[in-house]
Amino acid sequence: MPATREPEADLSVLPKADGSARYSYAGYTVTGSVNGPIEAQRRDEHAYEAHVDVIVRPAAGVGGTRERHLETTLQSSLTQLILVKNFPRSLIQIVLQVESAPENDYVNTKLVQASLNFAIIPALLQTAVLALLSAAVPMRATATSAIVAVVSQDGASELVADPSPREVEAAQSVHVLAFTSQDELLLAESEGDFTVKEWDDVYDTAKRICCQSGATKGESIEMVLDEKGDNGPDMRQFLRSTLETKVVADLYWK
Amino acid sequence: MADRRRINGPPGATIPPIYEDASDKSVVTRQPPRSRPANAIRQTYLKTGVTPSASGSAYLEVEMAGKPGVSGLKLSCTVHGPRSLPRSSLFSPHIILSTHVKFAPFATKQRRGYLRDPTERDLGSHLEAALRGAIIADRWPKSGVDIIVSIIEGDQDRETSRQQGDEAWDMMNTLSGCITVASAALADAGIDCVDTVAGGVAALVRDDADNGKPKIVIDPVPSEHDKIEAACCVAYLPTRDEITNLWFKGDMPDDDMATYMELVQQGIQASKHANRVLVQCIGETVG
Amino acid sequence: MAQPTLTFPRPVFAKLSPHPFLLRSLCPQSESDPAGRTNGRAPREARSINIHTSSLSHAHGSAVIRTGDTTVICGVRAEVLPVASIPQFRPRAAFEEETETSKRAELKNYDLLVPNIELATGCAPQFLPGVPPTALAQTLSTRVYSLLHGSGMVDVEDLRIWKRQKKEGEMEVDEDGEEEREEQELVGYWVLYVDLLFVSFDGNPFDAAWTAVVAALKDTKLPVARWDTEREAVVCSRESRPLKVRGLPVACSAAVFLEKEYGEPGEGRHWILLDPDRLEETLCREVITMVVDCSSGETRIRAIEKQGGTVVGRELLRGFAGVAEQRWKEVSKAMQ
Repeated sequence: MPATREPEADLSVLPKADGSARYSYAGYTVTGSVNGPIEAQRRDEHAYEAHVDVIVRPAAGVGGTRERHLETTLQSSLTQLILVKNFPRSLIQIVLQVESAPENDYVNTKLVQASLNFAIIPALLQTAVLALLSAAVPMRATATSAIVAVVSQDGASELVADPSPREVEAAQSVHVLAFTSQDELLLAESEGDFTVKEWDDVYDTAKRICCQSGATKGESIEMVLDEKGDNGPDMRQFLRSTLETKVVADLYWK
Repeated sequence: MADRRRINGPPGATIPPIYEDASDKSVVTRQPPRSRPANAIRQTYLKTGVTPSASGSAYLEVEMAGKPGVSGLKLSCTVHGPRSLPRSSLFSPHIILSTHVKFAPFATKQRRGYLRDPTERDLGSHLEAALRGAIIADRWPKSGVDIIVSIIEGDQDRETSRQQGDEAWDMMNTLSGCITVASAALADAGIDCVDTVAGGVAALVRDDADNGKPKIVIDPVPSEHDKIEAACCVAYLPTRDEITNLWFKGDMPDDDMATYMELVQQGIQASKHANRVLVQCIGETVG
Repeated sequence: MAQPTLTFPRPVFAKLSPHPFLLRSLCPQSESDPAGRTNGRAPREARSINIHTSSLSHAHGSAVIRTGDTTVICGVRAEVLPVASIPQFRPRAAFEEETETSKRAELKNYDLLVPNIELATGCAPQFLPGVPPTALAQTLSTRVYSLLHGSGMVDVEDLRIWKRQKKEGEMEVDEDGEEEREEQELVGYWVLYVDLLFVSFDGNPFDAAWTAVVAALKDTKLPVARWDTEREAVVCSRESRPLKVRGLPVACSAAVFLEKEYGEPGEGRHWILLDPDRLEETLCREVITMVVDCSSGETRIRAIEKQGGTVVGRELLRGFAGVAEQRWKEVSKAMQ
């Protein structure tokens, strides 16, 4: 089952881009490239800060309204992370190509067009952050993201981290949350039918996935074990170890 | 190819509902014949300033024939400008008008597409011609103004299943409304004009009730008459006594110049009626 | 001696330096002028909403929404989609149980709800026609589409068109004893084209658009349709039945205004401005939208969307549910 697999990432996979990353988790594989700061087009130019341009390309076909929506969401989040004021009048371009998704995008031999695909947001955001790190773009903070679904089973609702497409379809509600490395809530997207209480529980679960850091890992594992559930991996630790591996590899000659 | 910037419907074609009594002529509720005098236009409601962020705007509603209180034509117009032309454009000693007329998808009996079709482009160029004669264009060199008319509801009666003639008669009524509403929006934007231009329609109709004798009526509603022989839409400047745009369509004997002149004259009459509404509306805003 | 001062009327000030203009309005210098937004509202005050339905004659359902200077028209138009024109149509087998999930999938897979938002009507100076839909228009359309499906307001059962005929000739009782029932066969669906047209745009387009969609759907009456065997087509009678709409989700949006225009996030004070107008929207990065439905008596959240900043955390979001509830009461009152 793909959901239990550990996330995997490679940095600087594209030789011609300033920075790039390939990330795969929960059935999604996304390659991202970052170029910047480069000269902005006149209409995108901003006198005080860099313009962040995000382009999302789906696994099949050309982008539609759904991709525009994803781009808007990612753009507003990434602008918060990047120190955009360091690069006035310039452009930082992020291209995210979805390589594979757990579910086929075609239904009835026709592309599923508009429905918001929540499950892909964490993969896109994670790839973008990794690619930005690989491009050495100055950032205020990094971000980690998680998806949690509330699935009702036999009357009781249960939280499922990294749900499969089938679980997403049957879920009562689906939530995507992203946190910065300062434990602030950066992005929250929810859909379905839920109460404030349920959202609170989701927040706790998502925060545990996103924000447990290596230092407190022992404690967190206990918590996970206490609840006897698979509460997903430690995203922040993953981000850290991926970069450590990359740095070690780059400094091999020393 | 599917439009990837919009949400598309099913790939297979969808059909507008077919009513079971549509082909059954006897069931068709016949529109009551024209009740107002031949020289009167329908009740018109005009209001400026519906879009505060635009330089000028106006909204026009024309009462639906035979059903008082129910409106037929509904138009909204916004004017943006005068503003400087983009750098890439050539020098122009006078203001450049760009008119844009678009039907809302739900405006007519048939669902409209999102892209402008030839009828809409045609209405746009007629509107431009009508307004160009009214604006004092050389007061704003190197500038442009955008005039956008959205047709929220076209002048077509839903229950009328008779397809007499073609859409052109409805288009004439729509154009005359577009001219009047655009003129009000231009005045609201404070763009100098020589006069207020208003649209009027007159038609040569043939009714069975009159033993098929043709007569001229103003502001015709196609469903009220058995046959429309010819019609003309006039954009007219009352104080100058000038016509800025004339659209004539129909079938008339070529030696009958008198009827032709009479039709245009009646069109001017209709335009004068519309102008009264227009002047009153602008007067209210200013006063 | 008095220093010569440069004074501008308010609109000029607003245009020249919008951020200090709004900031100054929110934290006044003296006791005499009350703190408030430039539009005269309190930070947590939304514009009152005015809803008018059934004003269009060609649409099957319509609504005109006015809140402040934002005016949006929504027309719902139904068209018939015959089963024959659905590629790879797969009728549901008798043994397959119909669930909420399968119904929603049916609605989605056959594209029975088609919402689109038209902004390019000159409704504000930045939206001029003649260009393809902007990223904002596309984002709004996607959000409306997503919420339409996610909230389950429309039941696919209501959109199905059946062919009903009595079984003839076979009067002897079958083993399963079902011959007395009418035989039903699915022949088509109603497709609802939900088109939104902005006449005037003054901020907060999603709330206005969504309210218009809900009001127009509640106003929608579909003709009674049946299969005509002779014509081999779906025909409708002049009678109509109202579309069943479940629940009343109401969207409530706010924007976060920061004291420092170009400062680091987290610095200085912030204000949460409910139902932002066009000026406020251009000055705020962080936006939050919550869609709630209290029609069952209990507050259910249907969607949350928060992006563009880190000011709104858990506590603020929780508190925002109360604000959204309040908005729900206002809008549901306006709907009646």
